[in-house]
Amino acid sequence: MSDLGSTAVLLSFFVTLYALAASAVAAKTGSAAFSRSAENAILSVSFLLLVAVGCLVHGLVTLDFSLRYVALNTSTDLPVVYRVTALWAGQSGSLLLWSFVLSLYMSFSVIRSPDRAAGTYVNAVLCFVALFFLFLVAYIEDPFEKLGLAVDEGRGLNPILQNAYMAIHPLTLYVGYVGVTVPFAFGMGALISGNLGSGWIRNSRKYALFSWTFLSVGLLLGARWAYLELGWGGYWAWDPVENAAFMPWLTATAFLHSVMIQERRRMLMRWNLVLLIVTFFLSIFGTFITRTGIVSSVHSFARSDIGQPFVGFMVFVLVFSFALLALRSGELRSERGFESALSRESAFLFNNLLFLGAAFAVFLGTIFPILSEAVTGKKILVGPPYFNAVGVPMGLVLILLMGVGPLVSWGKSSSANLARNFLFPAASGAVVLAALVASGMRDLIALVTFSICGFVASTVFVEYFRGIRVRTRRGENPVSALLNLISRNRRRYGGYVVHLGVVLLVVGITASSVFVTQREVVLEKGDSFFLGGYELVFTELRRFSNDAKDGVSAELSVARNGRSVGVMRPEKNVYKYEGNREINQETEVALRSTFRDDLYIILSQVGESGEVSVRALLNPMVNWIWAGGVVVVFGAFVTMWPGGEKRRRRRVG
Amino acid sequence: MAEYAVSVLLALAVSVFAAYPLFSARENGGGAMGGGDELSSLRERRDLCYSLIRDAELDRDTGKLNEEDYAELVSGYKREASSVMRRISELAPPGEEKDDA
Repeated sequence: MSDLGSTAVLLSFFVTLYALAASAVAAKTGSAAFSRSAENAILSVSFLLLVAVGCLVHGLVTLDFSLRYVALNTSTDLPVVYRVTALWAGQSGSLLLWSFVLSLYMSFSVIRSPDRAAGTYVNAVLCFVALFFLFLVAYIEDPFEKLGLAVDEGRGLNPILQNAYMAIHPLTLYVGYVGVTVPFAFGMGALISGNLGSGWIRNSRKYALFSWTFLSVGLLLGARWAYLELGWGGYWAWDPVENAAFMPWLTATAFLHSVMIQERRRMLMRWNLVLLIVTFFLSIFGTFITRTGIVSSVHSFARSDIGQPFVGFMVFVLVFSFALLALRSGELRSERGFESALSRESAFLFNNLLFLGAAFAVFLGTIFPILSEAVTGKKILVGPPYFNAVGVPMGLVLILLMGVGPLVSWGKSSSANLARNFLFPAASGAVVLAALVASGMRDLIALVTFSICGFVASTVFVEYFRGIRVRTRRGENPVSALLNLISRNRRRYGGYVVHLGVVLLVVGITASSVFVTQREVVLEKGDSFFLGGYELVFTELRRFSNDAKDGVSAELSVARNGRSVGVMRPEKNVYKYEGNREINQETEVALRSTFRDDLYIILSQVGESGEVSVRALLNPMVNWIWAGGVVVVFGAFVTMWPGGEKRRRRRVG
Repeated sequence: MAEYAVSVLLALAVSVFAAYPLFSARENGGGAMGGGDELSSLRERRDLCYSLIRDAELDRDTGKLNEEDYAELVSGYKREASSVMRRISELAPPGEEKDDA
């Protein structure tokens, strides 16, 4: 199967090269035959890469240790599900997956494209990007490379990757990462062809929203994985790999807002293209820093075979895109200017500047260790204090704008309308503030954040309430009014659901960051300690062993306010196979999770006489983060869900 | 051996599939791109105008826009929708005109 996989990869490279050439000929001559031929070639690339991925998965599942990739990422003790997920555990498999996901997007774009003439340019750009990744897979990082010597056992999968969240988190992140290539291609296609009408922006928005949704899911799953698996008590550490996915998410969020200004007001066309270019660049940059190891050391970059091609590609993307944008700049002038500072477009513009500023701050913090090591030879780490100092004020203003935006109209808002619209939400924010102060809360950041969240949540409530009221006045009952309101204005009301999800997320993040309490204790059997309202008693130490690992678990009986709530068992495991990153130890935290708080227990050490060192944290409201994530994704799907446009057209017409 | 045979078949199948439109009489008869594709874009633009009008209606009904601002905003969208629809009726095949109007 490996020879077939290797052939499929090589063929896909040459077929993509052909598709690029055929698209260019079609664009130059207007030939429908060449355009169709390029489309068929693109569909073929998806099929070829499906074959290649299938062959590699076959090799992983059947443990074909003649393949270097299989030997480096699996072992005989590895469960089948993790043999499959080993597809994205190593470099060459990840790059193959990148290419495959991109080919699926390309095929989907070909099938769904309403405009073949414009689609030809889009296909050419997509093929160019695919060609770069296929070049890496075919000639530099071959997943089907064979080992000179046969081995009986592989090195195994890194233990911390053997987790259900890690099994799907990279996949969702890839769908998001790779997906931003399509809106970029639509933008570049429009610039190259000079067809700068409305079609490209509409198509870009759909793909950008889809990618944004999957980036969001990927980020949340990654945070959940870090929380459960890394055992340090948190879910976000401003790690460069986390930042790599967060940066395109920030700029894609900015684009999803500013694109509305272009659609409605024919403004900010250049700005939207800049956002598309930056988002695509950041997705490639994210892949680059994740895959080359440049973050851990600039020397790993020098050792990585894909580092230099990546840098060359990124430089080319930036130079080519911005040169093209400059060339067409005159044709991209806005048809009108901002009429008033009190308008939705002004709020969106401000939100855009903040999103881009936040992305730049994260970018700077992420590359600073690399720059400092390159210039001074010493790596200067930029830790959470920098990111929090920069991010918290920007985040607070962004959340505030999330509430302001929906309350102001496009064009201009009269002061009477504004006063009426802001009254209830502003009063709600004030009530939240007063209630929290009265209950004894004194932390300034928490007070400001929760008040703003109260303000934003009430804007969502007000928007829904007013919309339903309009429909009930026309004779609909409240339930059908709600359903019709959403189904006929999916973008707007789905967007409000997303806002509500973000509020839940922010409340959870703030509460769990500001009000976390923790204790580190050494316990002998029978010892107990208190944390918050919990009493924990160390009752038993168990040692166990299976084919994969030797483990030890501490059994702690837990009571809350004197009532038993169960037994918790944090573990420490030593894996028998060292894994491809030479981590062979892993902590399994014990977690008792409610919407009020998470009791999070880490077994730090086990002494020779059976005493255990335990670190216990009480993280308030962490479940609000995951619940918020679910609401965000639900809202995004409401927004994306295709609507009955024809039916609505009849109503308006 | 079987793997090589499958690889060769794969290469052949892909080549034929990609090259087929270049030799197909129907595709070559189709000539240049355009026409129908422009129609799709125009229909998308028309739908967007309708959606913008609905948005403005909702903003007026929920108290975000006063009548004067609403009228100004919507008249622009309606003007654009009319010109788009005129172009659609020029391009659409006779049977489809009614559906698009």
